[in-house]
Amino acid sequence: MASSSVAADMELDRPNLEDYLPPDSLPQEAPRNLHLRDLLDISPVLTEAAGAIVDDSFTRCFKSNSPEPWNWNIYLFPLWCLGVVIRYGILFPLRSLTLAIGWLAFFAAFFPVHFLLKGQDKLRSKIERKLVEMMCSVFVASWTGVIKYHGPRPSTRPHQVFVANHTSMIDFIILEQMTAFAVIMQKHPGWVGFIQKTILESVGCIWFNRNDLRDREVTARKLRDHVQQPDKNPLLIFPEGTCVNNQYTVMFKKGAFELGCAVCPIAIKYNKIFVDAFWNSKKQSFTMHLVRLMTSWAVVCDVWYLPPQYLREGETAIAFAERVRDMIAARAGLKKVPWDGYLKHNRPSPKHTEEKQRIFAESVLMRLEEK
Amino acid sequence: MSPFVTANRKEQKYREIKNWNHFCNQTTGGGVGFIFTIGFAVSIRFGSSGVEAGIATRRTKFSSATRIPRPVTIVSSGSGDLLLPLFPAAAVRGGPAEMGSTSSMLTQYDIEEVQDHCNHAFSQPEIVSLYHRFCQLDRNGGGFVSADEFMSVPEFAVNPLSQRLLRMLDGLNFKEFVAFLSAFSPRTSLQQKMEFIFRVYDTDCNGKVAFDDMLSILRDLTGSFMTEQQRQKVLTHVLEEAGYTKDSHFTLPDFMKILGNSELKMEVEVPID
Repeated sequence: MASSSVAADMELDRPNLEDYLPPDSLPQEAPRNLHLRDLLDISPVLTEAAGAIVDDSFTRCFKSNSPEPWNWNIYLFPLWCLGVVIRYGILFPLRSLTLAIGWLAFFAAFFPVHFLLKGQDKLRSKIERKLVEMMCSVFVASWTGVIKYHGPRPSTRPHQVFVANHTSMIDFIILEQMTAFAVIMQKHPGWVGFIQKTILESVGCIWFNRNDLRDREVTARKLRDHVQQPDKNPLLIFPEGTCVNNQYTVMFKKGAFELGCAVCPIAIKYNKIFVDAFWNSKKQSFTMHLVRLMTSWAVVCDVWYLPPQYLREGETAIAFAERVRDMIAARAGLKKVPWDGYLKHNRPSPKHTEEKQRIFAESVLMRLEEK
Repeated sequence: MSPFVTANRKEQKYREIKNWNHFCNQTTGGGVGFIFTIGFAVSIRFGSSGVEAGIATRRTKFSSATRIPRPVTIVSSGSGDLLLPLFPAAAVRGGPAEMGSTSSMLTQYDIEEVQDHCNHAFSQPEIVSLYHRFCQLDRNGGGFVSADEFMSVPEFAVNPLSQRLLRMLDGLNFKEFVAFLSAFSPRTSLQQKMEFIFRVYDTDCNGKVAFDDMLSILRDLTGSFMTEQQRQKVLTHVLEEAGYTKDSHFTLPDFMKILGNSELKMEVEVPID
């Protein structure tokens, strides 16, 4: 069952596009006879295409927002220069030092615990969890994270899964600092991959390659196992599957919503006053992203833990996912778009085109028969 | 690869503007970079987001045109950083009004040129907005948008006529891009809009639309939801009803006569921020 649902992901895992499209893109009720002119007039389709070229909701989701320039004035410019000197000359080295000390302390404690306490699994995982939380706090400190958490802290109960909107990998760090979550993430190369493999495994994180269908099957099975076990860390999923610029939300993948357990939404909103926290992975490596954060004045962010939601009777997983997305979007002030975030990497399936073709063909045939 | 990118001076300039933009962005990425080259206008580029200070000059090639080289006034790239003249007086003259999001890497001269090219179908702010969009679509910064880059817009990719339009769109530079879109401006006459539709039909560019051309558009629009026989039947039927036969060829005037009295609503709004 798990495997089939994952394989069908690409096909079924999407909300109703028609809800979002402008009403005039759907065929108007016109039960008139079909004339040559009606058939030759392709202007609606052309207009739609041109509209997409001029502006489209998908690209807007992944647009970095640069901060408002304020240094344009001859009086402000020296101030800004002073700021640059402080940020790069003082803050950045201090923060790097903090991070380095943090890493040293972390490794010095982590590896002995990991290898010496092999017998006592419970104690070991508890210490490791605390260490990971500590390391995340060090990270947050390294960009002077000013983070306000609203709502009750997440509890570690079985049969629940946390879902949050996704802006950058620092989402994970910010949430992990409060509660040790087991997160589902994309496999990364480089030092992030190394940390994934060595350290995050101890808090029960699961990773996969989003382009590998078999990997996704395995992940779905692991998810099911994970939520059943009471002593595991709570599960955290970013159902968008990709980083969005914190002004929009793309479609939530339904995987997290068909595990048959409580879904606890978390809304994360970054304040762009000092720096844009969006990680544009196509343009920037994660290291550069961190450097950018570390050279800013501060990362200001709000986190809301929202009340748990359950699948309602007769509700499909897709409708459930949409409902939770509504909650998060409303709380964090995000605009919703119907697109699958994976379209960043893949082309849209021909299904959408076929749907348009079907509607057109039906209207032509219907009007022809009326003759 | 792209037959549409012509190598005349103006085109070259657009690409140069882009390269310049790209160059500035690179400069700002690494750290405080001061690059001096020989030229006329000296600009400091800086913004509030980081270490962005690259002093650079326009290369003389840029201003080798007949017009008089002049200092670049406030120009801000799509990324919101600022290019300010080095001289405070000029900075004050430029004033905060121009500091907003309306400025771009295009000069007034460039904008007017593009406007002329598209018969003033778009206002100046619209051209600026389209230029930002063009740069956004042109991901590799080559100065033209390839078919692949157009297809990365999902809303365009799902359009049934996208493949057909791509033949007209592939490799457009900015001027051609605006000219293409001008058919969708409210300022463009109905006749020009119909000419545009005619061009979409007339794939072999022989000035005539035959039965096969219409059939192939219908094929794109209906896909697998109508059989080939049904399509032929429908088309023959409506042609005969309008007093034509299967073998009729439509020229542009015929085409306009047919479409003439229908209400074409071919308008796309260019967002201006």
